[in-house]
Amino acid sequence: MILKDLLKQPPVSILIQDSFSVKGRPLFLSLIHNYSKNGYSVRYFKYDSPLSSEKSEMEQLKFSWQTCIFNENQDSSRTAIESCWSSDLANNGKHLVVAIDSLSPLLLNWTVGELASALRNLQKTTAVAVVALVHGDVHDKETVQALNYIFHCHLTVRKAQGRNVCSGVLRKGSGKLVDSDEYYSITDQWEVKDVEEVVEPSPNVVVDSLPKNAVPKSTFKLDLNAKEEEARSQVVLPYIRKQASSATSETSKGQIIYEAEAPDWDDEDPDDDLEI
Amino acid sequence: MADTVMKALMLDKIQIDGKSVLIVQHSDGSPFVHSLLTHSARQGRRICLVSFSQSIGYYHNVGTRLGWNLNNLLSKNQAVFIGGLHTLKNSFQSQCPSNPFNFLFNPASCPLQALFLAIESVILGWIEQPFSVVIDELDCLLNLGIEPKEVIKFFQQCHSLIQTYSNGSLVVSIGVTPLDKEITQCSTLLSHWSDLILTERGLQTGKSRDLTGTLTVKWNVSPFSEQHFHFKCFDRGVKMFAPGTAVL
Repeated sequence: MILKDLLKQPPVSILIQDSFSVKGRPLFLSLIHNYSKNGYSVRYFKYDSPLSSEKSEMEQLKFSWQTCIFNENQDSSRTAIESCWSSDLANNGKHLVVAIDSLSPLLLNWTVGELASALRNLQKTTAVAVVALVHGDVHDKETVQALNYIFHCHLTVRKAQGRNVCSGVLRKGSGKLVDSDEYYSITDQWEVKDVEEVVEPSPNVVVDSLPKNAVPKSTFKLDLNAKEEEARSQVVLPYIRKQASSATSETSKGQIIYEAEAPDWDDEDPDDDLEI
Repeated sequence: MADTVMKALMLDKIQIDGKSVLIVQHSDGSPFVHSLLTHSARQGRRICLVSFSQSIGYYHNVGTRLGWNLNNLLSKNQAVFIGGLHTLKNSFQSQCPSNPFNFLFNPASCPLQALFLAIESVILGWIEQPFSVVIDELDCLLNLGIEPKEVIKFFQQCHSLIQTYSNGSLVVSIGVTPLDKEITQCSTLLSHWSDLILTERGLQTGKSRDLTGTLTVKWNVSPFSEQHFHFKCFDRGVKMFAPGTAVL
């Protein structure tokens, strides 16, 4: 169960993919809140709109955060963003988590390769785990798949039977891939709870034969009692009897019997009655 | 008729202050921009109307049919009309005299910055009063060749402006064609960021005498609901009704 393990173990690089129909931000905020509660230092970089609706959430979560909107006063070049990420990340004894909300505006300005390079440079300076959110329906499939090579864990949120489902793929250090589907819910205090594995319901076995009491209800007595059932089972049908008797004699071969009819030639001229 | 539209959008119960509304048009000519303009005018909100393809006369004529007078509001400084392309052209005319449209392709600077500054200068005079910024047909910028990242940046700046002043609202309409990847990408990203998304489509089976199209209303904030409606456009407004019910 990947989501359950992520909540207990030290942070790894996680990519959370959501769509317009199912938002991934609650799970994203809950994960970084969990890491913050467990003693990790979180640096939150926001590139998505809107801003102030998250202000109360940031105050509730109580960790340092910084909003970054590309404007004329801020250089949107890669070096400027990278220096923004790596600034003030001096290791003060705490493990570091960099939360990026979200990657979609960055991917409009950069290629996936440039983003990968920027994240790799970030992880060279100090040991950080990057938790990022991406809107999967904004980008093409190839871009989103390429992001899987950058992050160790890929979580996709969706809805199933009215409940939130997190489909996770985790790449372990040995290279082994583990995947799982889990139900989850988020409390008002940004805690993940009710994490349980999705169990696919077994397909219903279709019963071919009708039950014995499938006789339609009527005022007439249509069903049989036990004695009548026994008598019926002992009846030999006529065609079976004939087949059995013919099977004991010579085997009959298929035969076509054709009797040629008398020729239907008419010697008279059919156009004889015409006066041409 | 405007009341039925606002009722369907739940804007009769939910305050539009501090909210952003995105209208995604899959068919031509959205009546809902005009419905929201009518709603803002009737509530006494100041209106900053930005248009890239229509003139003041067009909005005045439609507004007159819906029961409000744009010219009257303009004369009282309760409304401001900004011609989007005109504003952009004027700011870059001195730099690029050879081709009047060169300003759109100048990579050295943000081509939409002048437009944002024009909107900001209007809003700064209205801080203490409720106001609405209405940007009609944002896809015109993409059709002219401006990169999606610039349009997204412009939207973020406008959105931040509304968020800064809590009594403002932002209404943006964008026309979408399925074959245009850039416009689809922009509209999907803006849908993630907006509080209320109205997706307007024509009927799948073609034109109808009884129906104009279908509308999907999705709230990304409370009440977090998604509803589907059919609507019919008349000369003096729009009527909304649930799918399958008759037009009354």
